[in-house]
Amino acid sequence: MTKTVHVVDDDDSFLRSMGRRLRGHGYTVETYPSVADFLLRSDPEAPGCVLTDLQMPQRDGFELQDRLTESSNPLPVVFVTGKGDIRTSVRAIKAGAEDFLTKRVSTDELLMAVERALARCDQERIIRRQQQEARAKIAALPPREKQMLLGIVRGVPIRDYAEELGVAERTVKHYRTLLTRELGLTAAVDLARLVQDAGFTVEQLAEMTEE
Amino acid sequence: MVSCGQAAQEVTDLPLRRVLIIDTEGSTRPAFVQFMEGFRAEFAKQQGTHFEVFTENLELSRMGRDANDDRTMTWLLEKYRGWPFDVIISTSDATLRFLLRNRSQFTLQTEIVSVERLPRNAMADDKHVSILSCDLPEAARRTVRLASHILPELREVAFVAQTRSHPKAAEAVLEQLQLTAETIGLNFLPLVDLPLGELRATLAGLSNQTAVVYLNYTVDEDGNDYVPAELLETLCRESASPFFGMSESYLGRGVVAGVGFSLREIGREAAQLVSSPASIEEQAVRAVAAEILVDARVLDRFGIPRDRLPADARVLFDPPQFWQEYWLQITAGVAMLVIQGVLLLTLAIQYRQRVRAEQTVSEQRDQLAHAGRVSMMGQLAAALAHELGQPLGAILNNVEAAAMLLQNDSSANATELRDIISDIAADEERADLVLARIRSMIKQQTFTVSRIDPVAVVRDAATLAQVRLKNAGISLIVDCPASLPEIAGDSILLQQALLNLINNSADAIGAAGDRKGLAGAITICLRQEDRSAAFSVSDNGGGIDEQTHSLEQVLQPFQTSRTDGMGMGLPIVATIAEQHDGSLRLENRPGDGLTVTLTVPFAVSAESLRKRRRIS
Repeated sequence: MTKTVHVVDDDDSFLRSMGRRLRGHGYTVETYPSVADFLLRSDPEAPGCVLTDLQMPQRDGFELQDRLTESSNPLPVVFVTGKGDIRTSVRAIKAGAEDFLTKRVSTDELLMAVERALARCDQERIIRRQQQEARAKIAALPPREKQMLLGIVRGVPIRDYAEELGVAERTVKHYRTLLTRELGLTAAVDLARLVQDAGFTVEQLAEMTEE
Repeated sequence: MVSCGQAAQEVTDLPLRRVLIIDTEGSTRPAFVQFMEGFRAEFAKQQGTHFEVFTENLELSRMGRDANDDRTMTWLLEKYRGWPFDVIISTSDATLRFLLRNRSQFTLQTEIVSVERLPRNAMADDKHVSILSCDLPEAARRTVRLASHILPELREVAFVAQTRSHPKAAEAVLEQLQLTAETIGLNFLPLVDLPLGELRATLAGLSNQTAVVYLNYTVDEDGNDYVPAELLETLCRESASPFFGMSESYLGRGVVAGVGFSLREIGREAAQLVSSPASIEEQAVRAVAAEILVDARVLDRFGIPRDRLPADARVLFDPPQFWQEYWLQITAGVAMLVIQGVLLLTLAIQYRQRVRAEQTVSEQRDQLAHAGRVSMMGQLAAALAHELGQPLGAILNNVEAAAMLLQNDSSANATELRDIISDIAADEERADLVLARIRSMIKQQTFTVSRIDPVAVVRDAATLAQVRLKNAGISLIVDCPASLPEIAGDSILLQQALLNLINNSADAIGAAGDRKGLAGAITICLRQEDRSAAFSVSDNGGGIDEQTHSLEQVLQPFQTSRTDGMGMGLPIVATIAEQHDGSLRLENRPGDGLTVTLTVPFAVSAESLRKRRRIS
């Protein structure tokens, strides 16, 4: 899948030249003269990163970053600014910006920043995909198995849990093996990791079993 | 006739005593007045007896008669026929003589109280005569003693008296005076019974080494009558000599002192004798004590210190102490002073507070102005960075893109390259516009040439810089000659140049101070260099690290290590130096500090400067 570098800047000349420069280095580039335009046109699922000017009329770079964080597919953001004062950069990095560049950025710095952002995008997408897969698997389990899974990942001794459910200890052990196999895992301990990957807490899982 | 007894109808049941006070002289004579004062004062205290008091002032000497005059006695007897007296008070020797000569005419039982001026009166062998004795000769002796004691320069004692009224007393006094004077080695000058003119002339010729003892003088050679005390006043005024009197009534008339008898005291004694008949018989002679009376005013006139006075001397007419007389005024004055003082103090405090407040305000204003300048520069710098950042960033992008285009594909798309070049040109134009705008902004500062004192420029700049440096804990040393030739230029611009240099130094110290913990110091120095004034600003801020910045670089605009500056400090100074046909010189001492020297040529004349500016 091709990764796109989205460039957002209200300065037409800078936007165009940055597009040229990145394309020259072999990137797929989309340019947007405003935050609104970016939100309207960009593909929310496509991988990539955003290179945005910080000071823009109407919505600025920070707002763009906020909107991306809220979305299901947050792209890493690199700020490009004409000012580059300490306060703004600290704020940007704290808000989770990948990098902070000045408009007169050297090629090395620019490429490193873009590469880092894209790498992070990949990483995040992998994590997100794993999570989605784990969630899907857990969600697909029949209610009885979900209940068993909850007991196992809760870390309660099997004997106690069996007693709590009013079943034989052996029954719980049987479900554990069944779940491990059904979820395509090699060991029973991986069950806990799966729940973790799904980003579920024990409480969330408990809610799901009650449904 | 004067009655001073209580009203008869109220006290009819009380025993009656009828008293006659008889005096051969006039009733206004001070001696008599004082006698009567004492008498009345004492008499008023007496109770249990009803008194009828009569007085007779025979005025014999004024009438040209004497005590032997029978007609007066005949008239008196006629007047008081049927009025038997219990007591007759005689106020003088002469009166007693007059009475005794006609003793047979009175009831023999009538008691006589006689005031006498001699220790013993030969005529007083009448058993009904009680004597109030005033020892005049003794008083005279003490007078001379007193005079010689309080006047160390004394050579002579003069004696003024008339013997006609009290011949025996006068003679006794004269004898005693002479004896005493001779005893203590003083010359004695009797001036007795002299005609008044001669007496006055003699007295006027005396020096202050002669003490004049005055007994009395009543009638002159032409028969004019005098009150002795009043005449004494005139005589004292005319003479340079200190006068001594022999009666209380003479005090206050110009005599220094008198050893005399208080006539009031005598009056009181007489009243006591009259009211208790028994005492008259028992004490035939009652001595009245003489007193030393001193007139403080005359004492001062002759410059006689008080400590020479004998302990028992009574000082009269002592001028009241300043405090006693003026205590109200003094208190009021002091109170006024205190109130004024408090007011003054209050005003002074208020004034000081106001001055301090004004000072604070002016300091705040300076700080504000400085802050304003700094923030303006900061804003300008930010604006510049943003405005120039856009086109420059775009140019950079385009150049890089073009390079990549050419690198990837040697037969690069000509259309694409043309677009890039036209974009670069457009951005360059944009950048130029930004610069032009800023240039026009800076150009608004006008350059006014006048002849200025370089010392004043340094002083003013130092004053302006003081606030910031004080706050930063940096000491400022001004090393400046008393005077230098004038320079031609704009004092505001030169001040700004110095302030920029000082600010740069302060910033460098601020940065270095964190590293080394050194006490920052800036020196402004003014010297003559050839035909120029050289202003130099030195600091101990560590100087420039020439590995990161070259000395040429720091003179370029926008070279700054600070986040809030725009690196215009030194370039502005360089521009100002140029405008003044001067020069800017940097002397870097890496690790120690930096010295920046700005030279401005002395004014030859305003004309020549203009010419020079035209040529350049």
